[in-house]
Amino acid sequence: MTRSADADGRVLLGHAAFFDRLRRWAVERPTADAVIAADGTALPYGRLVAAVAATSAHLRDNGARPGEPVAIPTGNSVASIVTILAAAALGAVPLLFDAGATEQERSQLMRLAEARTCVPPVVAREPAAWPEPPAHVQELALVTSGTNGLPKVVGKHWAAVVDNSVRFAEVAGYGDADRILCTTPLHHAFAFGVVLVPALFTGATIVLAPHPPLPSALVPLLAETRATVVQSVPFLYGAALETMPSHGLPDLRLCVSAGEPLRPAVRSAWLEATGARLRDQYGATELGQIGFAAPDGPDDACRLVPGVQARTRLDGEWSAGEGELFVRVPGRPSRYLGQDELTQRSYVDGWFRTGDWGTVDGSGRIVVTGRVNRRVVVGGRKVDPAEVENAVRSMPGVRDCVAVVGEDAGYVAFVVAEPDVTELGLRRHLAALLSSYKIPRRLHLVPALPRTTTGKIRMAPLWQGLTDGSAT
Amino acid sequence: MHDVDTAGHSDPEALVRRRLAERIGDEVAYGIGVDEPFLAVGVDSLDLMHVVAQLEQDADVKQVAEAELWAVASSIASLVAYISLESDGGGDGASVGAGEDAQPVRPGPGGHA
Repeated sequence: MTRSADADGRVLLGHAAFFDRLRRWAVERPTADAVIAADGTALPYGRLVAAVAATSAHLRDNGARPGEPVAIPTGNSVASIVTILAAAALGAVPLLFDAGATEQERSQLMRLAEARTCVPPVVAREPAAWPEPPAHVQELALVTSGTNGLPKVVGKHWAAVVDNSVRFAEVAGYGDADRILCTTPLHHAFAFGVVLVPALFTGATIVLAPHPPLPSALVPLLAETRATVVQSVPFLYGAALETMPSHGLPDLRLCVSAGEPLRPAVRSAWLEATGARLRDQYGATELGQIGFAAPDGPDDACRLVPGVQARTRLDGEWSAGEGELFVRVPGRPSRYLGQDELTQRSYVDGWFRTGDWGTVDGSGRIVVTGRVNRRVVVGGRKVDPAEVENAVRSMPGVRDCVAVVGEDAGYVAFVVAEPDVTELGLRRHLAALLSSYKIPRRLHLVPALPRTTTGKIRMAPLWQGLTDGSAT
Repeated sequence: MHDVDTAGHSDPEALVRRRLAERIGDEVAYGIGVDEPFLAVGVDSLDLMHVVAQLEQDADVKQVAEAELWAVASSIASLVAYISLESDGGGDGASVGAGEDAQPVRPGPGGHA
């Protein structure tokens, strides 16, 4: 079995440590709830481990093999968790992607990962022995947006994932009495690394909110499940405030927020309403949890999670001040499946290029101040404008397009097209190609995209067109 | 369409389309069929969350029956049913339009809230 070590030679927790711990809970605390679904049904640790063993056998019977990717259309369900764990226990490479992905998106991901098997989430019932421990390096694959028109399928080593997740759990103080409400998609690194892995490792209970949730249902869900930890995004925290009861949420002790900056008003209102501080988490699919706001630290800064190192680079040189943030975490570096050249370009001297701009100091305080590349964040979800523009241009009659985020207008696209192209028709075309979150909120039809002499699009006249009504 | 008074809004479909238009524009909000899935025109869940939150205020929704967004916000019809159920004491709220072929009326200038 392969073991990984960090820069100090410390052996990392990995695949075996994670599943040993899961099976230990099944023996020591078989009736303790491991997962509670949105409909209230609970799966205790004893039954979870039995279900994982049975489902591993089911997957093997259906073509899953150690070392090979198994695509899993993932939702926030007990079956998704069981299937992910079953594939991993078998030694296969679970490739997690949104169950709502379009056929084109799914085909693209599977092609990049060279995945031949796709299995819907399932909970097998036929009793089976626990699978033999896999003999090779264990990986899993998560999907994130790219910047070149292609999504990224990130191959991550379990040793890096488990070690980082457990370190995060230690910083966050997770324990077996915690009930951790997961409000974001399980296939995203945020939920995987802040909820799924650390919760099961520490023997806590995962409470699954439906995804996407109805905002007004979140607070009742928090209250009914007596969640002690909630993992969510700024928009949902803000929306939940609208339905907060006067007595607050007395069981809640920790609130993790990520994806986009928190507005100060939401931060203070949440603290006042619940007594629990919203704490920012800074992470990346390729790295896991990079930073986490200290309980009593400044609002705009995170502390590096133990084991994580960060530095900045400016004008091609390592720098001490503000610059592009480069990070490395213990364990083998992640890679982009099917995009070797992109993997090589993403590292400098073994440090991963985050694409974020910011500062980091010697005490481990990290502040993100912006983005270096074009990738945009829409409600906490990362979108590659190039992928969207390619899809828009594939519509017959469309001549040109740019997708951008404006301060007031939000995420929009400006489109140059023949007169018979309509916004509604274009949306129907895009809906067949892209997940809904990638489709701009508005598709503004304009006569032309004004450009500089060097060919760069001049955005100011386009934004002005929205104000004076010349864009439809 | 059945005639439901939704916290002072006599035409819940018009209210739903108006709130949708404020978020994603007139063309989609008034062009989409009453039963056409929002997913078919790529309306994002985040935009629908905003619309639902606004409609809940408009219709004074106090009791949330479902926790999943798509259960109440898959189409214009389902949103109308959601806010109508709240105000009509639990009526079926389902038969809210004449189907996808119905042509919704786009408001004139100044027709937005």
